[in-house]
Amino acid sequence: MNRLVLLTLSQSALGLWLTFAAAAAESAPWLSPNALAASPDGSALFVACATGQRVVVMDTQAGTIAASIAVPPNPSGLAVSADGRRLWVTCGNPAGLVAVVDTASKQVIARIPAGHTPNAPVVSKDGKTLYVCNRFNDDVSFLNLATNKETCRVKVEREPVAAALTRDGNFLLVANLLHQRPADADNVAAVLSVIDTAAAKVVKTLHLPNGSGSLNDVRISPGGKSAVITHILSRFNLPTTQLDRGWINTNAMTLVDIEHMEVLNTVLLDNVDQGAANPWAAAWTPDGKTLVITHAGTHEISIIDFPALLAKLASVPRETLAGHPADYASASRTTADVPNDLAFLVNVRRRLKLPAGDLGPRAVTMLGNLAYIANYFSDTLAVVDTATAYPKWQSFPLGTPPAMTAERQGEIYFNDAGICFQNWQSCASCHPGDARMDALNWDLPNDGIGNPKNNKSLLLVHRTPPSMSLGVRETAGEAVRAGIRHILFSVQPPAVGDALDAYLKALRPVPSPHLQQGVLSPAAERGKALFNDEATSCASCHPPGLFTDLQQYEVGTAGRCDKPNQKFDTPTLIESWRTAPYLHDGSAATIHDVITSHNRGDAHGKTANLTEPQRADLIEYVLSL
Amino acid sequence: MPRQPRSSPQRAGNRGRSRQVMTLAAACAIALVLADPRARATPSAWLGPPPPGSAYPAGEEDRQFAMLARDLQQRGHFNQVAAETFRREALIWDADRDPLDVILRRSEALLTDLRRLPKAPDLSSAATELGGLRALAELTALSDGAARRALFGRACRLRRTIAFANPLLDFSSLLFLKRHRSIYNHCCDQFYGITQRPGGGLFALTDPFGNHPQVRDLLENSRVSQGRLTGQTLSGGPKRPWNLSYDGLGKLSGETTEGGSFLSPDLSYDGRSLAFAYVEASGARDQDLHTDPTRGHWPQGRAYHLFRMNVDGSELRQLTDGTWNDFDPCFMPSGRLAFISERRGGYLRCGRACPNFTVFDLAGDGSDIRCLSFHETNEWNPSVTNDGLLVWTRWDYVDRHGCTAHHPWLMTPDGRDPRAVHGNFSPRPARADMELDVRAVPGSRRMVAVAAPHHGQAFGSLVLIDPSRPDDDAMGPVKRLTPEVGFPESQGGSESFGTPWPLSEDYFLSAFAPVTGPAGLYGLYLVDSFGNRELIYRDPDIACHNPLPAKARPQPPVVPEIARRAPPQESTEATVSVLNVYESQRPWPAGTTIKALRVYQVLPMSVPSGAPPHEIGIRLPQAKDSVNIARAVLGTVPVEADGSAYFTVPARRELFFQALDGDGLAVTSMRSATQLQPGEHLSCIGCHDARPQTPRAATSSPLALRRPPSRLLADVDGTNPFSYPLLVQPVLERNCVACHGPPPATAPRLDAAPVPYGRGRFFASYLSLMPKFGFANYGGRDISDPKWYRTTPGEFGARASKLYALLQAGHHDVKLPAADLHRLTVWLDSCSPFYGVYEQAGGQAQLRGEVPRPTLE
Repeated sequence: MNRLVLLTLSQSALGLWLTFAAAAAESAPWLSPNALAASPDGSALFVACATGQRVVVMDTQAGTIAASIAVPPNPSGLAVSADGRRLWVTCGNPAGLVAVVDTASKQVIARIPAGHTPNAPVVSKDGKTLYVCNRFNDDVSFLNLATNKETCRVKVEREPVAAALTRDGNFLLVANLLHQRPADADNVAAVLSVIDTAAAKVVKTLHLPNGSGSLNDVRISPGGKSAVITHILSRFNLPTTQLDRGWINTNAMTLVDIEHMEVLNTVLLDNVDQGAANPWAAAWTPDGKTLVITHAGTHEISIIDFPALLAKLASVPRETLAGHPADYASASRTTADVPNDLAFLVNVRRRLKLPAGDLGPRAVTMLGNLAYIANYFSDTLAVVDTATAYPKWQSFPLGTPPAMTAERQGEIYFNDAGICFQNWQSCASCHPGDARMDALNWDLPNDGIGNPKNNKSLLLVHRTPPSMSLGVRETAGEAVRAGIRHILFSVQPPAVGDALDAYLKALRPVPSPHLQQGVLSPAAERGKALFNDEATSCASCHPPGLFTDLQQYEVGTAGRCDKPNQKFDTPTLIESWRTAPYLHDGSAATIHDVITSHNRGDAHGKTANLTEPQRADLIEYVLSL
Repeated sequence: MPRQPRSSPQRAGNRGRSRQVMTLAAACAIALVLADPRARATPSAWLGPPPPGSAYPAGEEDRQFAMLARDLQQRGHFNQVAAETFRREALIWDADRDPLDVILRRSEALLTDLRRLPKAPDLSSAATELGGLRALAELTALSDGAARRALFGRACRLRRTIAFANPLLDFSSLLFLKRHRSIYNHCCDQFYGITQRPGGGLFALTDPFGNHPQVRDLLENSRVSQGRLTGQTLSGGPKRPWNLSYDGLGKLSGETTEGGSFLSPDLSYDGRSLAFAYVEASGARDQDLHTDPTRGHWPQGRAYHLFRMNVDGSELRQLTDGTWNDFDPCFMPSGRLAFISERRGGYLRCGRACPNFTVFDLAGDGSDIRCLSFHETNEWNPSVTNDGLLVWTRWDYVDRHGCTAHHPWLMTPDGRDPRAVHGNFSPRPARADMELDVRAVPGSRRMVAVAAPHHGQAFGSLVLIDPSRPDDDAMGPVKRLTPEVGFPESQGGSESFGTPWPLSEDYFLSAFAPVTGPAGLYGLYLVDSFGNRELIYRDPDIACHNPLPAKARPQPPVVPEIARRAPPQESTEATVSVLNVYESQRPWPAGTTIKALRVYQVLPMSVPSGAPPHEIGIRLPQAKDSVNIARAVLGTVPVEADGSAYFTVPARRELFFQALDGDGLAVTSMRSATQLQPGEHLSCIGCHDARPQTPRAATSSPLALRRPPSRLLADVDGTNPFSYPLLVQPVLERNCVACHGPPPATAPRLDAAPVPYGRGRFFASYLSLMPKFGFANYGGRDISDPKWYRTTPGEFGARASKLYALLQAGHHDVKLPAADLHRLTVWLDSCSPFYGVYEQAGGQAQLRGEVPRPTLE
């Protein structure tokens, strides 16, 4: 599309939208666009609308909205066939499926069953298989596109949320959102799983730097030589006494050398005095010269001169060379320093704010030098020419937004680093995945320094006071406001805390992947009986309902950082299938660890006498809640 | 260092350069007279653009021509600074043949840029006209000076139309201040009330870019409604060029004056309130010299105080009073105001009688005054960054040359975590002497500042600082906005630009006095990064400063107060964590193990340094222009095996740290100072880590943070405050004097006989030991050598001293007990001082072996 078309795009799209929106205005939901895919010739751009149950089709030549395709709830990802005739839409539900759309008729013509909350669909090179990440099954489905049936599943690590296929089609790179180790381990980082597509198994796991998490996207460069992973790099072993200079969360991309299938290095996207929170989607221009990354927390994009970045990375020595005086101005004396250098992208990258009002860029597609950005919270599509020295944005509404609610406003704040000092992080940086947790230990000064605690999911937090493992905040509302002041280091009007409360109160548990057709499995039923049995006495502190009695106990879990006989708040067990690791210090990677190796003296429920099958049943029940 | 005041800002450069400028100006003037008789017109007061059809502002066209004619003679200079310049349009290009070429090229650049701005005006007719002028210029031969001069005039008029169409000029009133240049040229003295020549006031220029500009005296009908001056008016008095002089030592002389002087206005974010400083400029004419910090320095009427009022002049209130200068008020998002005050007490260290002033804050009504910076040298111009921090200029030198570092620092609005932005260790020739009036550019991470001289006033060249770029001890983060003006003093530039107000990275309102004159009569200009300087307002009798658009502007976020509020007299504490002392910009000597940190307090200079009662010790070659710093060892704290440390220090003191090896010897030492607020937890990555570095993602939490913070372990007697007679001499008496006694012994004397030296008296032993065997030289050839201004780890203190080497090698049969050796090494690590207090009485007490407390801590 040339620039002339772009200039006329705004008016025509708006005109069309007025008509379209008027027709659909009545009970229009929020659309929340979160995925993009272009037709092979670039003439059509498909926009998945996560909460709108539709895929919007944009005619990029005319600059108008061409169609709106109704799809099953929670469309989460898009893939287009090489011939452009098929569009696959993952629908992220517990009983997940892939909707097959005929792009000519704009109709869903088939539904392929998949796992729990499928997303990130990728078509195989031969076009015969669709790879789909089942987020809450922690695996990847291989779907036969001839039969529309699953052929196999490949276990990856934890919550796969993004995938990319190497140019030769031999390897599928899968980004795992979270790590799965004990949080008090020496090295705690989410990984990239490399699946050999022919063998249908993980053949390599690429480890990101310690503290890496919230992997949101993985893309492979047009030349096929590099991959980029967007993620957060948390400095979780430090007390959260300040935000300056990336003290808590830094925002990063990790580059992968595809030929050797190893991590090239990790580069920070922040500046020394301004964070670039929540890096989300990535895309290259077709010539591979420009890499664009969206920052969902700061509502901007990074435009990176990719060859210059590679050259700069190559110029950093692996080790300090004798006889070569170090450059004292540079924080990157060796390659190992690069992940800690907040100035590495100086001269290599431009930061470009989205147009005012565009919020939450979570998807990007490049058509030539034009970056199309899907903005989750503003229901808009923004377009910019990344090659010009003075870029001008165009922004298109994808629908008529409904009246703002407190919950939605709270969700916007929750994901907005604009309410954070120097925009280093949003609430979602530590609480990704709809206000759950990053599975890391953090040393908040609210209970003194030197005693890190495992981050907790915020689900049900207002109904399960007090907050924090030591209960240092009497209510969740108090904790929300303390978080604004002591973690975001900002002062906000009362409306912000109120909206955050409303959002968190509106969170609903996701049905466990351990349920079978929505009900407890036989094993879980057996486990339920054990759980409620006075002999184990699990239910005495975790009674059904909220699965916490809201009291604090000393159950023998105090570790080396804790005061002896320290009491800890009893957490809810709801959604414990997704909240690992466990205990206040995250020292138990599994529920099995909780009831065995970490249950000293049977102080945390009577589990010592259980047989291993009984334990398995009990665990199955807890993980089904 | 005492320097003679100079009256003309144009002569801040070296003599050779000044002559060159004068000659050039004269040449230009002659050329102008030949070219255009209007050059002879005397400048007169002029407001805004003239009515259609009338002349361009009188004198300005010629001024513009002269400026560019001068620049065209400076091609070598432009080539030198080209790489450091923000926009190349502001340079002189090879293709530029005369001022007409330059103005047409820069007008085109301006026009192009304006058309790209949001809310860009329709400039099509201006573009057409500019195209026509360019065509005419091409047809007019360079030799036809008169014709080209006439075209230049047309270009001036057209450019003015274009420049004033800037959508960023979206305000109908421009507030500003009139004042004379101070009668004393020095970065500190220029802001003392006693050095002010009365005159001026606060004004508003309405319709500043339209057809009917008007100037209004904001204080014309205002009477003070709060404070000592209640019922009075604030006025600059009659228009008179008062004949006054100041001797730099506290004494004002000259004729009796009328009226006061104004300084440093600031506008609240809602655009409704104006704060400023005013000195009555009346009363006694001698500085009040004493060592009592509670008494202030000045006679009543000779110190600046803070005032605030509504922008219409109503509700004029006096916020502060006393015998201290208070100035540079700065509205903060919290509603409080930061300001600069002498209330901390103390004097600068490099001569004369210059009271120290640092950052304070107070409530919006003038109550609740709090010291934010306990620094012991001067500070200037607090301002709020776009992310809600305070940026200000700090003069920071510990064992360094006095003219070395006055560059921007950042801290939280409650005074926590002060850190240099850049330039704190730059060698002098590599950058501006000072960066003053630092202000965040709207919508940008960059900040504008004035590159100003040390021995001059707050004017010079404008620069743009990008804090996100690594500090290379030179110009790395800095770009020149006005490359035609070199940096004053260090690079021979002139004091041309001052008090800039950024509209964007490319457009600024600024006080400006062209090099070509008239000297010191700053006008208000619209300055752009393409080299255009457009006059907005000039007063022929007095300088105009501090342009402030009278409108609301976005308020930066409020950064929460974390520091504990505590009464000034309360003894308070803070904690420091260092994650890994081995993280350092400079390499450690191979095999270095750091076992402890030594914490020093820098004692404020409590007496004027021009004639100190005694020298603290023999001066350091790297800091020869200043009195050595009186310091006290507060104690040591352990460093864990992983390099981490976690400890408690007294809050509200000026501190610096040393890293000690297993023998308790300093491996390196800070040449900067820091401070903590009550209850603050300061976290450091390492010892002088690179600024863009984040803490490493360690595999486990630092060892020191797993235990309670260490308490400072006090050192031996004679270290707090420092006292050679108490600390060192007893060791010499025990171990050395037997052989090294007074004559007839022939070995160098190590006895305690007082010997006159310079202004004071030292022991004979000190004069024998210190110059040859002590440590007082950080190394390096001169200021161009990084070793000169940054400590080289392993080449410092006892480890680098001859005395320690001699003792280690064995000296006859001397077997120094460990405790005695420790006393010597602490002395060496402290740069071998003699006295530990500045005061006369304290020094005499130290000579007697007593332990006096300094009067100011």
